[in-house]
Amino acid sequence: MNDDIDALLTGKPLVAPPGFAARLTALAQATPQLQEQSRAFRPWQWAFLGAGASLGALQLCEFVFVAFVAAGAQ
Amino acid sequence: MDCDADISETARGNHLAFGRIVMAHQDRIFAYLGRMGLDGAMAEDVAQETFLRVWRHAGKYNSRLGSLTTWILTIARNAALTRLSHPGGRAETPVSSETLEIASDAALPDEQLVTLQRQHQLHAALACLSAADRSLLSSSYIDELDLAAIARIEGCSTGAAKVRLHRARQRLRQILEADHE
Repeated sequence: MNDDIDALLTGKPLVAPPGFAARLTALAQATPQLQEQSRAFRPWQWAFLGAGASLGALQLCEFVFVAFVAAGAQ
Repeated sequence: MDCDADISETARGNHLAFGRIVMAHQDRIFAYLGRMGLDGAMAEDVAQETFLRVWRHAGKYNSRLGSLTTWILTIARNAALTRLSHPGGRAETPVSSETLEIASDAALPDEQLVTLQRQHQLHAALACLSAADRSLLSSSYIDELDLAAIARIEGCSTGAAKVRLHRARQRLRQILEADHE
Protein backbone atom coordinates (compact mmCIF):
# COMPACT_ATOMS: atom_id res chain seq x y z
CA MET A 1 0.00 0.00 0.00
CA ASN A 2 2.98 2.34 0.64
CA ASP A 3 4.13 1.95 -2.95
CA ASP A 4 0.56 2.51 -4.00
CA ILE A 5 0.40 5.82 -2.13
CA ASP A 6 3.77 6.83 -3.58
CA ALA A 7 2.64 6.02 -7.10
CA LEU A 8 -0.61 7.90 -6.67
CA LEU A 9 1.00 10.96 -5.12
CA THR A 10 3.79 11.20 -7.64
CA GLY A 11 1.79 10.27 -10.70
CA LYS A 12 0.60 13.07 -12.98
CA PRO A 13 1.53 16.10 -10.88
CA LEU A 14 -0.05 19.51 -11.41
CA VAL A 15 2.11 21.67 -13.69
CA ALA A 16 2.30 25.39 -14.30
CA PRO A 17 0.08 26.62 -17.12
CA PRO A 18 1.86 27.83 -20.28
CA GLY A 19 3.08 31.42 -20.03
CA PHE A 20 2.85 31.48 -16.23
CA ALA A 21 6.45 32.69 -15.76
CA ALA A 22 6.12 35.38 -18.44
CA ARG A 23 2.87 36.63 -16.91
CA LEU A 24 4.39 36.79 -13.44
CA THR A 25 7.48 38.58 -14.72
CA ALA A 26 5.21 41.20 -16.31
CA LEU A 27 3.19 41.44 -13.09
CA ALA A 28 6.37 41.92 -11.06
CA GLN A 29 7.31 44.93 -13.17
CA ALA A 30 4.16 46.64 -11.92
CA THR A 31 4.67 45.53 -8.30
CA PRO A 32 6.92 47.60 -6.05
CA GLN A 33 9.47 45.77 -3.96
CA LEU A 34 9.70 46.27 -0.22
CA GLN A 35 12.92 48.02 0.62
CA GLU A 36 14.65 46.70 3.70
CA GLN A 37 15.30 49.38 6.29
CA SER A 38 19.01 49.58 6.90
CA ARG A 39 19.87 48.62 10.43
CA ALA A 40 23.12 50.58 10.35
CA PHE A 41 23.18 53.84 12.33
CA ARG A 42 22.86 57.01 10.29
CA PRO A 43 25.32 59.90 10.92
CA TRP A 44 22.79 61.98 12.85
CA GLN A 45 22.07 58.97 15.07
CA TRP A 46 25.79 58.66 15.82
CA ALA A 47 25.90 62.41 16.59
CA PHE A 48 22.99 62.11 19.07
CA LEU A 49 24.56 59.08 20.69
CA GLY A 50 27.92 60.88 21.01
CA ALA A 51 26.30 64.00 22.47
CA GLY A 52 24.33 61.91 24.98
CA ALA A 53 27.41 59.97 26.05
CA SER A 54 29.45 63.20 26.43
CA LEU A 55 26.73 64.81 28.52
CA GLY A 56 26.52 61.73 30.73
CA ALA A 57 30.30 61.63 31.21
CA LEU A 58 30.34 65.34 32.04
CA GLN A 59 27.65 64.92 34.69
CA LEU A 60 29.49 61.96 36.18
CA CYS A 61 32.72 64.02 36.41
CA GLU A 62 30.78 66.87 38.00
CA PHE A 63 29.28 64.51 40.59
CA VAL A 64 32.67 63.02 41.42
CA PHE A 65 34.22 66.50 41.66
CA VAL A 66 31.42 67.82 43.94
CA ALA A 67 31.68 64.72 46.13
CA PHE A 68 35.46 65.15 46.32
CA VAL A 69 35.21 68.85 47.27
CA ALA A 70 32.49 68.12 49.82
CA ALA A 71 34.64 65.38 51.38
CA GLY A 72 37.63 67.79 51.49
CA ALA A 73 35.56 70.55 53.14
CA GLN A 74 34.57 68.21 55.97
CA MET B 1 23.72 31.81 -13.22
CA ASP B 2 22.75 29.95 -10.02
CA CYS B 3 19.64 30.61 -7.96
CA ASP B 4 21.45 32.47 -5.17
CA ALA B 5 22.84 34.94 -7.71
CA ASP B 6 19.37 35.25 -9.24
CA ILE B 7 17.72 36.06 -5.91
CA SER B 8 20.36 38.74 -5.21
CA GLU B 9 19.64 40.22 -8.64
CA THR B 10 15.91 39.98 -7.97
CA ALA B 11 16.37 41.92 -4.73
CA ARG B 12 17.94 44.68 -6.85
CA GLY B 13 14.86 44.76 -9.06
CA ASN B 14 16.05 42.58 -11.95
CA HIS B 15 12.92 41.15 -13.63
CA LEU B 16 14.85 38.73 -15.80
CA ALA B 17 16.47 37.11 -12.76
CA PHE B 18 13.02 36.87 -11.16
CA GLY B 19 11.70 35.21 -14.32
CA ARG B 20 14.49 32.63 -14.10
CA ILE B 21 13.56 31.87 -10.49
CA VAL B 22 9.90 31.39 -11.46
CA MET B 23 10.88 29.12 -14.36
CA ALA B 24 13.13 27.03 -12.12
CA HIS B 25 10.56 26.58 -9.35
CA GLN B 26 7.09 26.82 -10.89
CA ASP B 27 6.50 23.13 -11.60
CA ARG B 28 7.77 22.11 -8.17
CA ILE B 29 5.38 24.61 -6.53
CA PHE B 30 2.41 23.52 -8.67
CA ALA B 31 3.11 19.83 -7.96
CA TYR B 32 3.34 20.61 -4.23
CA LEU B 33 0.06 22.56 -4.26
CA GLY B 34 -1.64 19.88 -6.34
CA ARG B 35 -0.62 17.18 -3.86
CA MET B 36 -2.00 19.40 -1.09
CA GLY B 37 -5.37 19.00 -2.78
CA LEU B 38 -5.70 22.41 -4.44
CA ASP B 39 -7.39 22.41 -7.81
CA GLY B 40 -5.76 24.01 -10.86
CA ALA B 41 -7.30 27.47 -10.50
CA MET B 42 -6.64 27.75 -6.77
CA ALA B 43 -3.10 26.41 -7.20
CA GLU B 44 -2.47 29.06 -9.84
CA ASP B 45 -3.74 31.80 -7.50
CA VAL B 46 -1.60 30.57 -4.62
CA ALA B 47 1.47 30.11 -6.84
CA GLN B 48 1.07 33.64 -8.17
CA GLU B 49 0.76 35.01 -4.65
CA THR B 50 3.81 33.00 -3.61
CA PHE B 51 6.04 34.28 -6.39
CA LEU B 52 4.89 37.87 -5.94
CA ARG B 53 5.84 37.61 -2.26
CA VAL B 54 9.22 36.30 -3.38
CA TRP B 55 9.55 39.35 -5.64
CA ARG B 56 8.50 41.83 -2.95
CA HIS B 57 10.58 40.31 -0.16
CA ALA B 58 13.60 39.10 -2.16
CA GLY B 59 15.87 41.25 0.03
CA LYS B 60 14.87 39.23 3.09
CA TYR B 61 16.16 35.90 1.76
CA ASN B 62 19.09 34.61 3.78
CA SER B 63 20.94 31.65 2.28
CA ARG B 64 22.36 30.73 5.69
CA LEU B 65 18.86 29.82 6.91
CA GLY B 66 18.13 27.38 4.08
CA SER B 67 18.03 26.92 0.33
CA LEU B 68 15.99 29.13 -1.97
CA THR B 69 13.65 26.21 -2.70
CA THR B 70 12.99 25.77 1.02
CA TRP B 71 12.27 29.50 1.37
CA ILE B 72 9.88 29.58 -1.59
CA LEU B 73 8.10 26.41 -0.40
CA THR B 74 7.68 27.94 3.07
CA ILE B 75 6.01 30.96 1.46
CA ALA B 76 3.84 28.66 -0.68
CA ARG B 77 2.83 26.60 2.35
CA ASN B 78 1.81 29.70 4.33
CA ALA B 79 -0.10 31.12 1.37
CA ALA B 80 -1.89 27.79 0.81
CA LEU B 81 -2.78 27.33 4.49
CA THR B 82 -4.08 30.91 4.68
CA ARG B 83 -6.19 30.32 1.58
CA LEU B 84 -7.53 27.01 2.89
CA SER B 85 -8.35 28.46 6.29
CA HIS B 86 -10.61 31.16 4.84
CA PRO B 87 -14.33 30.37 4.80
CA GLY B 88 -15.07 28.72 1.49
CA GLY B 89 -11.36 28.39 0.83
CA ARG B 90 -11.17 24.70 1.61
CA ALA B 91 -10.07 22.76 -1.38
CA GLU B 92 -12.82 20.78 -2.94
CA THR B 93 -11.89 17.25 -3.73
CA PRO B 94 -10.41 17.98 -7.11
CA VAL B 95 -12.07 16.13 -9.87
CA SER B 96 -10.02 16.39 -13.01
CA SER B 97 -11.70 16.81 -16.34
CA GLU B 98 -10.56 13.30 -17.19
CA THR B 99 -12.34 11.92 -14.14
CA LEU B 100 -15.53 13.65 -15.20
CA GLU B 101 -15.15 12.10 -18.61
CA ILE B 102 -15.27 8.62 -17.07
CA ALA B 103 -19.04 8.76 -16.76
CA SER B 104 -19.57 9.70 -20.35
CA ASP B 105 -16.74 7.92 -22.08
CA ALA B 106 -17.31 4.21 -21.83
CA ALA B 107 -14.50 3.54 -24.29
CA LEU B 108 -11.76 4.21 -21.70
CA PRO B 109 -9.46 1.22 -21.24
CA ASP B 110 -10.05 -0.59 -17.94
CA GLU B 111 -6.55 0.09 -16.64
CA GLN B 112 -6.85 3.82 -17.23
CA LEU B 113 -10.26 3.84 -15.63
CA VAL B 114 -8.91 2.10 -12.52
CA THR B 115 -6.00 4.55 -12.29
CA LEU B 116 -8.35 7.53 -12.52
CA GLN B 117 -10.67 6.06 -9.92
CA ARG B 118 -7.73 5.49 -7.59
CA GLN B 119 -6.51 9.05 -8.15
CA HIS B 120 -10.00 10.25 -7.25
CA GLN B 121 -10.01 8.08 -4.11
CA LEU B 122 -6.61 9.42 -3.16
CA HIS B 123 -7.76 13.03 -3.48
CA ALA B 124 -10.84 12.24 -1.41
CA ALA B 125 -8.62 10.56 1.20
CA LEU B 126 -6.21 13.51 1.20
CA ALA B 127 -9.13 15.85 1.86
CA CYS B 128 -9.71 13.96 5.13
CA LEU B 129 -6.25 14.95 6.39
CA SER B 130 -5.56 18.36 7.91
CA ALA B 131 -4.09 20.98 5.57
CA ALA B 132 -0.86 20.97 7.59
CA ASP B 133 -0.51 17.19 7.21
CA ARG B 134 -1.22 17.42 3.48
CA SER B 135 1.50 20.04 3.22
CA LEU B 136 3.94 17.81 5.11
CA LEU B 137 3.10 14.81 2.95
CA SER B 138 3.34 16.87 -0.21
CA SER B 139 6.73 18.37 0.61
CA SER B 140 8.09 14.89 1.39
CA TYR B 141 7.78 14.10 -2.33
CA ILE B 142 10.09 16.91 -3.40
CA ASP B 143 13.34 15.16 -4.28
CA GLU B 144 15.82 17.75 -3.16
CA LEU B 145 14.32 18.23 0.31
CA ASP B 146 15.67 16.22 3.20
CA LEU B 147 13.78 15.81 6.48
CA ALA B 148 15.56 18.82 8.03
CA ALA B 149 14.42 21.07 5.17
CA ILE B 150 10.86 19.70 5.41
CA ALA B 151 10.89 20.41 9.16
CA ARG B 152 12.04 23.99 8.44
CA ILE B 153 9.17 24.48 5.98
CA GLU B 154 6.67 23.07 8.47
CA GLY B 155 8.13 25.05 11.36
CA CYS B 156 8.76 22.04 13.60
CA SER B 157 11.67 19.89 14.74
CA THR B 158 13.05 17.10 12.53
CA GLY B 159 11.80 14.48 14.98
CA ALA B 160 8.30 15.96 15.04
CA ALA B 161 8.24 16.11 11.23
CA LYS B 162 9.22 12.45 11.03
CA VAL B 163 6.49 11.40 13.46
CA ARG B 164 3.83 13.58 11.81
CA LEU B 165 4.79 12.27 8.38
CA HIS B 166 4.55 8.67 9.55
CA ARG B 167 1.13 9.31 11.11
CA ALA B 168 -0.17 11.14 8.04
CA ARG B 169 0.87 8.27 5.75
CA GLN B 170 -0.67 5.75 8.15
CA ARG B 171 -3.94 7.67 8.25
CA LEU B 172 -3.99 8.00 4.47
CA ARG B 173 -3.39 4.27 4.13
CA GLN B 174 -6.23 3.50 6.54
CA ILE B 175 -8.65 5.71 4.62
CA LEU B 176 -7.65 4.14 1.29
CA GLU B 177 -7.92 0.62 2.71
CA ALA B 178 -11.36 1.42 4.11
CA ASP B 179 -12.38 2.63 0.65
CA HIS B 180 -11.18 -0.62 -0.89
CA GLU B 181 -13.33 -2.74 1.43
